Amino acid sequence: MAEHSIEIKSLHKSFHLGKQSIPVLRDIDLNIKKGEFISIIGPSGSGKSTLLNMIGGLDSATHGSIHIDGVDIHKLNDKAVSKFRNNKIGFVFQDFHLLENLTVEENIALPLRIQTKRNSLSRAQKKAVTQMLKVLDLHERAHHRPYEISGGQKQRTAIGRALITNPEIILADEPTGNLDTQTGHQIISLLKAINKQKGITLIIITHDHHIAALADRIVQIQDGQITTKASTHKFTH
Amino acid sequence: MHLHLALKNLTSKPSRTLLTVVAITICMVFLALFTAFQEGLRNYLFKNSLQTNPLTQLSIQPKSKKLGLNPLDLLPQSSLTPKIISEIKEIPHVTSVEAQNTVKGISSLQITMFGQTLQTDALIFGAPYETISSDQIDENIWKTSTDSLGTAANPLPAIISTHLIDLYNYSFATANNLPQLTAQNFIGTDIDIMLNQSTFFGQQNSGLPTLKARVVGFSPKAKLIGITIPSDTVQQLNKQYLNAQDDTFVDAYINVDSVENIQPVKQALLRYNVNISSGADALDTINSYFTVISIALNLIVLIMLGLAGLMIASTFLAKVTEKTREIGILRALGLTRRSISRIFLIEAGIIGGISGLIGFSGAYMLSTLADRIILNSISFIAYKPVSFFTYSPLLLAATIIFAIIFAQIFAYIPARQASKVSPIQALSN
Repeated sequence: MAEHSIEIKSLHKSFHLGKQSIPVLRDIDLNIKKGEFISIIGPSGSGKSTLLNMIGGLDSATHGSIHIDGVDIHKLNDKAVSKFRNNKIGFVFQDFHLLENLTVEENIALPLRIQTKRNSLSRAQKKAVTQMLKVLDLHERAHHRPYEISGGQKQRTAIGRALITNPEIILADEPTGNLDTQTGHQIISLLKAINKQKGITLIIITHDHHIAALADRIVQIQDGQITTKASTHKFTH
Repeated sequence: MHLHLALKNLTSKPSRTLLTVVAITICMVFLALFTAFQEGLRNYLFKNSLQTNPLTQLSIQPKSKKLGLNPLDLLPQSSLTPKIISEIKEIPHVTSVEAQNTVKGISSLQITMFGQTLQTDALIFGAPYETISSDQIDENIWKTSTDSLGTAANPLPAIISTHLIDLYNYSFATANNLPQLTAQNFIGTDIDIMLNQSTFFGQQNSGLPTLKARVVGFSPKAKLIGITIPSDTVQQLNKQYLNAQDDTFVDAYINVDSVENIQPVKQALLRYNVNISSGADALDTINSYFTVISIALNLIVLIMLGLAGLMIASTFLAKVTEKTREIGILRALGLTRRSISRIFLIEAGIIGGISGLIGFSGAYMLSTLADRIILNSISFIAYKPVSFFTYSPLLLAATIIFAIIFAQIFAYIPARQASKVSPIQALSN
C-alpha cells in the first residue's frame, strides 16, 4: 500500500461576508502520495490557492481535516503549526515574495535562521546556503538585493529558500505566472528535477496546461469542488 | 534571528528610524537633564543643610512672642539658663551641648573696605569653640580671653556667616561699584564694634568704648545678622560694659550619639518649652520644596513623553501596515505570532536604547553649557556649587533602560497588531 503523505478528508472552507457565508471549498477529498507531483488547475476564484494555503497550514478549515504524515495540522497551535511549516513545507509564490531588505543569500538562509532562532548561521548551514546558491546558479548574485536581479533569478531564489530546510512538500502557487515562457519552463524543469531527485512531494497550481501535463496527476477544481482527479495520461487524452 | 531581522528593518528605512530616534532623544535629553538638575540641587542643599544641621544634632531656641515692629522686641516665653543647659547635658544619649549667647542689645558694626566705610546694625553672638571647630579655626585664637580684649592690639576673634560674602557681593559691592570678594579677602578685616548703638533705631553715643574685632574665619553656623565671637567673651562683655547679669543663651546645638536616639532626646526636651529643630526637619523642608519642583519638571517631561509616545505608536503602526506583506512571508516561512511581535519590540528597544544613550550625552553637554552660563552670571556668589547637575553611571543606565522600556510600551500595540496579521491576506496584498 502506497504511503499517503497528505490526506484531505471532507474539507470545507467558507468565508463570511457580513452575515453571508460564501463557500470556497466544498467536500474536498484528496490523498497525495509521498514524492508525488500534482498539478492543480481550475479557473480563477475556484479555490485552488485556498486549498494550497490550507495544506501549508496558513489557513484553517471550516470543516474536515488535513493530515500530513498522520498529523491533523489544523489541530496544531500557532507554535506547532509554524514549526511544521518551517520544517516540512516549502512555499513558492507567483510574486516570489522575497524580502527586499535582504540579499539573495540572506533570503535563502532565512528559514534556517527561523529554524535555529539564531542571528548567525552555523558553519554547516553556511555551507548548505553556498551549495544551494551554486545549484541554482545564483552564486554570483548572492549579495544582490531582489530588486537587482531578474524575474527568473528571483524565482530561483524563492525555490532555494523553499528547499534550504529540506522540506517534504513544496507548494508552488503559479510559480511561472510572472515569468516569460522560456524562464517559466526552466523553473518548472528545476522543480520537477527536485521532485524526482529528492523525492519531495510537489504540488503546483497552474493555468498552463503544458506545465500541468508534466505532473504525475492533475486535480481540477471548479466552484470549490474537485471535478477531476486523473493521471496526466488520462487527462491529456 | 529576531535581532537580525529587527536590524534589517531599522536600516531599510533609515530616515524614519532617525526621526523616531530624534523624537525620543529630545525627551530623554530633558528627562536626564531635569533628573540631573534635581539631583545636583538636592545634593548641594542637603550637603549645606547637613553641614549646618547634622542628622545627629538638634537645635533649640527659647520660645518668644513678638511685641511690635522691632524684630528684637520679643516677650520671652521660656529661656535657656545655664541650669537648663546643664540638665540637658545629663539627658541620656546627649554627647555634648553647644550653647550660644549674645551681647545684649543691638550693636553697630563698622567695616572699612576699599576706602569705603560700611556701618550697619548687627548682633554679636557668642559660640563655643566646638560649634565652629569644623571650620579649622585655631582653638588658641578662639579661647584667648584677657582683660585687654577688643583693643587694636588684641582684637576680638570673629567669624562671619559664609552667606555674608554672597550678600556683600550681590548687594553692597554691586550697588557701590566695588570689587567682588572671596572668603580670603575677608580674613583679617578689622571691624569696629560700638556696643548698645543703633543707626536704625537712633541709639547713639552710648558712651561705651569702641571695640575692635578681626575676621578669623567663616562658618555656616555663624548667624547672618551679625558676627560670632567666643561665648566666654560675650559673657565678659555683657558684665563689663552692659551691666547685664542675665547669662541666658539664645540657642543651643545638642549633639546626640546616634540618629536613632534623636527622637527620645526630642521628647525629653519638650518639658523646657523650647523650639526644637533637627537636621531631619531641615531635610524634610528641602524635600517638600523639591516635591513641588519635581512635579513641575516631571509634568513637562510627561507631556513630552506623551507626544513622543504617540509618535512611536504611529510610526510603528505605519510600519506594520507597510510590512504586512513581509509579515505574511515570515509567517509562511515558519515564524510564530510571538516572534513577529518580538521583532517589532526589539526594533523599538534598539531605537529606545540609542535614543537613551544620545539623550544622556546631549543632557550632559547641555548641562555643561548651562553650568558655564549660570556660574558666570552668579560669579559674585562665593559659596556656589561646582555644578548644578549630578550625573552618575546609575542615571546613564536608568535613562537607557527607561528609553528602551518606554519605546517598547508604545510599540506594544502595533507589535501585537503585527502578530495578528493573517498570512493569507498579507500574501494576497
